[in-house]
Amino acid sequence: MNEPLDDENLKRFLQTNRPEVPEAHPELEERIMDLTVRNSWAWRAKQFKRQFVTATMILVPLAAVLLFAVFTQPKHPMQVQVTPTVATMADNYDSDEVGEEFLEESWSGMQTQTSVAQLDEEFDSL
Amino acid sequence: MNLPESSTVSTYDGGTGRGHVVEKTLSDTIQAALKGDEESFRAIFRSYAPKVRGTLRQMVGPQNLDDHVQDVFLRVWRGLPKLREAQGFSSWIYRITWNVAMDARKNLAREREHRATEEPHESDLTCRNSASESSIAARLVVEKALLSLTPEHRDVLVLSDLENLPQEQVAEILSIPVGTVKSRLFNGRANLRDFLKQKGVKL
Repeated sequence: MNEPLDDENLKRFLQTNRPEVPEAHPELEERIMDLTVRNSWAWRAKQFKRQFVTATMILVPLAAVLLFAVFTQPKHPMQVQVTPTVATMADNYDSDEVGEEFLEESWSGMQTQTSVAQLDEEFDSL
Repeated sequence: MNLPESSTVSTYDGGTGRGHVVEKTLSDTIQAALKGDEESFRAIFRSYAPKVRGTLRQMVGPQNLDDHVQDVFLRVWRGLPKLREAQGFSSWIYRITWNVAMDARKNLAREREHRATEEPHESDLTCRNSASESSIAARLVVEKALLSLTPEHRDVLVLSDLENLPQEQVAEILSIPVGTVKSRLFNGRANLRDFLKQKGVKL
């Protein structure tokens, strides 16, 4: 009896007719992932880092846009500095003070420039 | 399991958004898995699960196969940090598979009185493919033949003749001398031939 040949024949027969292996449950792989790598601190740290980076990439530009909008917002009309016109300035001035200033200036001007006698001569010439 | 430790393992690098297959060595894959990379451990699972499943099927039968496979990979995950080097990874996984098979047999032995758990059921052989009846009959005979062997002979025969592992690796997995592997293989094959002869099977 040729044993090596018998052994080879036996091996071939076993491999050809090996008992069938039932298919795995469709969720077996995920269940094993849950119990192993997803149950580790290293995996959790990786997930946290990934989520942190994602959140940062969304929140930082959003915050920048909001800050920009806040600081460049147009001011309330009452806060607007408008170059006043002469009329506005005149309106804003206290009328009594203006009158007094005007009279003082006028009177001082009149005093330096003319006397009463000179005024009479000017009147007679008219 | 004939995946050499120096070979590459394909993992899908979807985490960075690139979404392409990255070729890594087994050592790099193991290191990445330990650092929490899910795709790396998934690649290890997909590479070795078919062989683990087949080996368990031959050693302990089809009952609770999913649970046994899960048990193997749980032990693989727990043992990964202690693994010194990627070389010998195949033998290491086979060793774990064999240990799980031994534990399963012990549990089955406790239930043996009220349940014919080691008898192959016809429903287990319901093929999902289009195999002929003679093929089903041959598979049934092989299964019964394997079950007729002692666990020691069966383990050596499954690893050597069905999984095509060299005898030195079988010795390493089972923690027995190579001489013992050879003698168990010789006796196992002889018993198997006798059983098949009785069933009228011609090789």
